[in-house]
Amino acid sequence: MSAAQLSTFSVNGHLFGVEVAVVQEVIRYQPMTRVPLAPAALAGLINLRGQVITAVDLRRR
Amino acid sequence: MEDLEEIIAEFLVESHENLDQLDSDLVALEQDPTSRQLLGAIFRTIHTIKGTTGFLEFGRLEAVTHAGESLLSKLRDGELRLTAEITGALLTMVDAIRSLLAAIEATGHEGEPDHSELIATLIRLQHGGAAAPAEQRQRPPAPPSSPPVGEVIVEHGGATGDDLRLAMTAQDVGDARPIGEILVSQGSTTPGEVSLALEVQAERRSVADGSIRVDVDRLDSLMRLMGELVLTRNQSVAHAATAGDATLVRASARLNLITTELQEVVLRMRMQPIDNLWNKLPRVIRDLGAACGKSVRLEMEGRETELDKTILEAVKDPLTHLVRNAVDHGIEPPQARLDAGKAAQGLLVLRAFHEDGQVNLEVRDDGAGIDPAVIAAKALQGGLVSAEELARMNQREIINLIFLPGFSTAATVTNVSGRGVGMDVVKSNLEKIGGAIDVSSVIGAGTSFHVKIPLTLAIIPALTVLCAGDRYAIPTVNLAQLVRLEGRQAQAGIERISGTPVYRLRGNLLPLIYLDRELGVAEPDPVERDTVQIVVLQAEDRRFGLVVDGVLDTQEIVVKPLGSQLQQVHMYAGATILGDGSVALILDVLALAQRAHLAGSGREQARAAPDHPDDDRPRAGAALLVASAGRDRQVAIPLEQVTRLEEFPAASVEYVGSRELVQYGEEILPLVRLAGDPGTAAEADDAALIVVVCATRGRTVGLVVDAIVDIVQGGLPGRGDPGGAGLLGAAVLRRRITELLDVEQAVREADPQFYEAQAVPARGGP
Repeated sequence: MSAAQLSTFSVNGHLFGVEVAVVQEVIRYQPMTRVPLAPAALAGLINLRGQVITAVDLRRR
Repeated sequence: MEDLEEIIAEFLVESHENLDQLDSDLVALEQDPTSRQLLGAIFRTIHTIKGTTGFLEFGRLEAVTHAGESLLSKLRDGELRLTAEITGALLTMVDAIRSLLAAIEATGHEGEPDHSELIATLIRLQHGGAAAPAEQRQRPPAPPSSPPVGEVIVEHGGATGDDLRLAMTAQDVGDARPIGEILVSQGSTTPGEVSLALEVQAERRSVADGSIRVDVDRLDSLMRLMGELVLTRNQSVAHAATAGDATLVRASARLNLITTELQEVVLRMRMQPIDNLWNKLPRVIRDLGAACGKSVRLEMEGRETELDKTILEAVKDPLTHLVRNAVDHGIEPPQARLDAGKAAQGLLVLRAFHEDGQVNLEVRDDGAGIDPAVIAAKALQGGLVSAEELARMNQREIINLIFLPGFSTAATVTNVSGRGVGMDVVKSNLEKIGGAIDVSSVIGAGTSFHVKIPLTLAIIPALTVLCAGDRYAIPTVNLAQLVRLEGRQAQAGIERISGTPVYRLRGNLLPLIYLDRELGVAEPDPVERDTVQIVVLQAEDRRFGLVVDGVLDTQEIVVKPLGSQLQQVHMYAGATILGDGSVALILDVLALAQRAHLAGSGREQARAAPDHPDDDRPRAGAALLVASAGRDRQVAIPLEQVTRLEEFPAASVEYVGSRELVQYGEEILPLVRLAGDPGTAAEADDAALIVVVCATRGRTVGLVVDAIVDIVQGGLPGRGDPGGAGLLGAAVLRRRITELLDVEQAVREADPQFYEAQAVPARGGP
């Protein structure tokens, strides 16, 4: 049995985990730019220190 | 051992750069054989390579460079004059060095190539010319880098070595003045000589120590860090404003300023002069000219024009291809040129300049030009176009057929160019980076290729607009004009033609798109606005107006790519970070136009050159005004030809003979009834005539229709069965058979003498 380190979080009371190696960083909520016509799960775009990052709303996914 | 490998890698990079410089220096030297500066530079380069090879124990490389260096030193010292043979031998030497370097790069060893013949030639030339008397006074060799100014003066004959020694002694004993001043005060030289020497010195320094090589990855990470700095700056400035600490406010204002400047510098660091690309061309042209038996003089204008490095890389191949083509196909052999009354030596001009935020590149030759008839025949033969299509093309369009895939005009396939791939690849490569290419040619006088490319892919000027509370960026490349309608005009200025809103911009109908509706963010209950902002945009050769809530400003924005989820939306060209750190989407203008069914399929439109106002015929894919005329008859009029839509009371129609006219402004507008005779539908005098005002062949005519139905994006599929004169064909539009009207023919049908009445030279109709 191999041990995996997970970063866990909860969405709507459900506990989820992702492999810690793929997590770059955890940031607080910040204002987003909405993207009209985009899929509903796409929450918007944020500026992460000069890079444009797509934010996905897991609740809607 | 690792250290040595690193040194070798460094040596290879440096040497490759030096060799490129050598190529262009040698060709330039051919033009100006006595240039001491060039000779000095060439000598230094070879000397550097030789020195390093000796140290790294590359024996063959050292032998070749040594022979070359000896020959060059004789040239530099004026003991030998440069001849074509010597230039040839030196260029061969450069190639030999290059192949040795390539071998070292690939295998780590020089390999076993035999250069004894080359070395023998170099030595023979060196001695063969030694007997010739020195034609120039021998001067001391140019030192490798930034020499003391005194030596430069002496080198240029401004003072003697003794004078210099005297001046230096004076300095040694405590004279604090610069050496130049001492020399002048001694009466050894003139102030002019000193300033000249200082210039020479500065120039040498800039060549030798003025630049360093930086990995592009490092530049990219610098750009990213810059982004972080901007964000932090914004936070700090915002905090300082509320903190009420005067010192902090001052410091953050300064931080603000410096960050902005730093940002500019960082952006500029990615820019490189086009000369980095051009300096490889003289050699290409020389070799190619020699291979084809042609002599070509190269002129370059705008060497210092700067482009982003990635763009520079991307235009390298297309540009080289154009140049090769010009030498191979464009410029005629010397005898043919003489016969045509031109100088035996062909001329190739490269131009680069900035215009409208774009870089313009021109490759122009004074060769034989492109014969449209030949192009047409080839295109027909290759099945690239049909005879009908050809008949409808003007000369410029025909010449532009060379950009079609599979087109080649080379009568014989040479190893230089002309294998059936070529111009289409050039075109598609340029289009990949947002560029465009156009060709024009005059038979016997030459051909000119005009390339437009964006300055950089990363930074573009853009207009920021407001829509439903969000900000969007529109590339100003697409921006034609801004229109603001206020008060009453805001409602009255915008008309509707069966659901399609239009605005009359200087007599032309401009279809409008509402950005909020296109994006699906419109308020469910739109309030009547008292101002309307229209951004007039150009997508390919179609214009349309984009209605936004507000226009903010124009600024240079850094384009950031979007994630794959968003590329599928086909509405955004990317995203950018605005000054306050928030993200704004960049609108894809072409996609917007297509969503609004305005622009046609890209390729078809791109081929229809936009700048032919004399060309009246409707193009496939053009927007059409659909109107009903008479029972069950629906006609489509190319929107291009429609200038205005008017309503006249039927009572205002006057008659001259059988012709109907109305007063229209200060003109008299002849009317043509598309529905047939006015008698068929008895009109009350108070009825309104709906008139489509069209301009054809310089004359204005009013087409009387029953109603305007729509504006649609035209496709003209079924053009096989024209329903009579005056019709170009028929298509199903809005679920009804619609006749596509040829305005000129329709007018002729109603009044055969209409155009002849005006002194317009008759053109053959299709």
